[in-house]
Amino acid sequence: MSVITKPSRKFKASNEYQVDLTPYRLLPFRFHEVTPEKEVIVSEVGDWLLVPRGTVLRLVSRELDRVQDAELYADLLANFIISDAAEVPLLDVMATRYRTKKSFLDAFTALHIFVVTLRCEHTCHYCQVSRVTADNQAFTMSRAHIDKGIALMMQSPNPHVTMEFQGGEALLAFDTIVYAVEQARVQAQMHGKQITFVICTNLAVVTPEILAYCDQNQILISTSLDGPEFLHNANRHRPKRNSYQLTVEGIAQARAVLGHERVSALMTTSTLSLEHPIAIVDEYIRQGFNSIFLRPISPYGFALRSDKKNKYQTERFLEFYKTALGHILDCNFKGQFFREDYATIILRKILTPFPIGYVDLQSPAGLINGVVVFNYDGQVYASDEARMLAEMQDYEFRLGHLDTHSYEQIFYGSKAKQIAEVWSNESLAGCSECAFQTYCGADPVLHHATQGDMYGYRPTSVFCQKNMEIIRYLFELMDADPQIERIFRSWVADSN
Amino acid sequence: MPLDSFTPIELRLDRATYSEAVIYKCFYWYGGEYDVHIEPQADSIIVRLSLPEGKTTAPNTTDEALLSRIQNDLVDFKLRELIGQETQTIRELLVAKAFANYDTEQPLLTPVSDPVGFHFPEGEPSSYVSNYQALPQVQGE
Ligand code: SF4
Repeated sequence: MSVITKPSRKFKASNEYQVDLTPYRLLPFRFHEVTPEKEVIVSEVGDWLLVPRGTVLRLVSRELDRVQDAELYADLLANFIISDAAEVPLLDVMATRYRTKKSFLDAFTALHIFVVTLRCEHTCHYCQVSRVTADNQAFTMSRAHIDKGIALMMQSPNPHVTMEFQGGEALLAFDTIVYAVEQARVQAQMHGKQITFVICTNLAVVTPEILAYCDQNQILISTSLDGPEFLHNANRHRPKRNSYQLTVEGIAQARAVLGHERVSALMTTSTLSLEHPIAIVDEYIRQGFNSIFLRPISPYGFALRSDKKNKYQTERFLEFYKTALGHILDCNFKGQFFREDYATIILRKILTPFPIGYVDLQSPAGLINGVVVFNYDGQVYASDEARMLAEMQDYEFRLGHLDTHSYEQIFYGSKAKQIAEVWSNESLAGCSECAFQTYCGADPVLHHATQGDMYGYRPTSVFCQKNMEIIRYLFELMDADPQIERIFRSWVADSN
Repeated sequence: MPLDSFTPIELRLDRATYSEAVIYKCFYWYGGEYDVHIEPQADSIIVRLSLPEGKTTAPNTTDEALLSRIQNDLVDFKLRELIGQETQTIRELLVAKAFANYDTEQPLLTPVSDPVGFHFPEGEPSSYVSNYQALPQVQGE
């Protein structure tokens, strides 16, 4: 670089404009190897930079040169990884960014799940709750418990709450749902709350009358679709082996009455599903969905006991996930917009300053903070998985009972405090120095279920193994092809 | 050579190079595959990796690959320690400042009760800077 040495009256010498050459200061960051050639540096507020392996070593050893490494240096400055001023003038900005990342905490519990009945007409082998016959009234939520659940929901500081009806098969207790919707509507108006209703249903028993009611009350439908017919029916047992047919017809009917956007589907991954990643994605595309949530099978309920059928290795799931994701990306390359939802949740945290309310991918975790479950028998649980554990007689995450516990006792009681000790990954061994901490979360329920300890042991945790590899893989993909980052950004933009 | 008959390995690590914290944090991640035994000595720390009882074959790796992984991991965890030491104050300030807005108490205006400057009223921009500059300087400055 040429340097003007002769002073000029009009222009100062260029070195006058150079910043003070004191060594740079590190700002808090973490790093992780993405490939043998690349590592990712993630700032405390979630900004990131993919750099050649060894960059952090150079950075910490003060070997980076602001002239020779000008581009990298500027990127590090811009991403809050270093500062070249003695003080940190952007501390206010960083603090605001940090707070934004945690803004999901501002409003507290939004999702209130009412398990209106345990009855179900399916006999799925992996069902996560005890199945009982379709005509057993003993497993339906009483109106007194509905009233008490609504009263608690109205005490949530959150101005926008969601009331989600689950089962068993929730539509087998449709009269209970109608009662709950009517009561909640009145109460929400009195308390100045906005309320969203969701029914989770396999749609097998849906009728035009039910759909008309959903339409009048703007109720969303969340159904289950596991893949093509042979797979869906193998996963979801019904006497006539017609689960797929009923679901697909139900989706069409529901869309016709409620509108396309008000009907969503979730898939459950079984051992059999693991062999058919592409067929599953294609089925979702065929059914007119523009996204799929590739969920690992949960190790709760009957799934834990049905070892031979349901035991699957996280490794196999990851293989399945990557194949499916590759196929989804191919569709996008060909111009068809189609999104994978688990990746999108993580990518939203990687590519935007904003958080996303997803129970297992936030810290503090979403149980109690974001979700609470009122079971059919009045018991209150910290999350959906927590009540599934309870169906196996494990009551570790029971917060209280609608008949006997107040809002304070349930949401701020001793059990909530015990869970709070382990729900922030910032303070968990292994996670505390993990670069993916901001994008990942904590899952005390899963760790309790699989390791017998809600704190969790990361080296053998399936939660950690899954998230660490998926997050690493998303970075690897973005590094490999800028087009993929553009596709990922379109997913994030669409999910807002 | 695949380690189908894994002989336990023993490493002697110099305390001057690797702190106890670095060694514990590094070998924490080996606990899923190996039994990890850490024995602090006066000037060094001995780390032994062996196969858990009942396991006869080692994870799919060679001894060279395992040693190379350990070396890389030790460097990475040492770097993490250095970054942590150097940035701890800023991190604490950052988190405290981010959540200070949640306080509902009246602003405290004396420098003693408000050493970091969280509660300075609006209109006094960057009030934290003067306090912040008084913090210990980090390595290299
Ligand atoms: S669970 Fe694993 S991937 Fe997630 S933050 Fe903790 S260590 Fe990182």
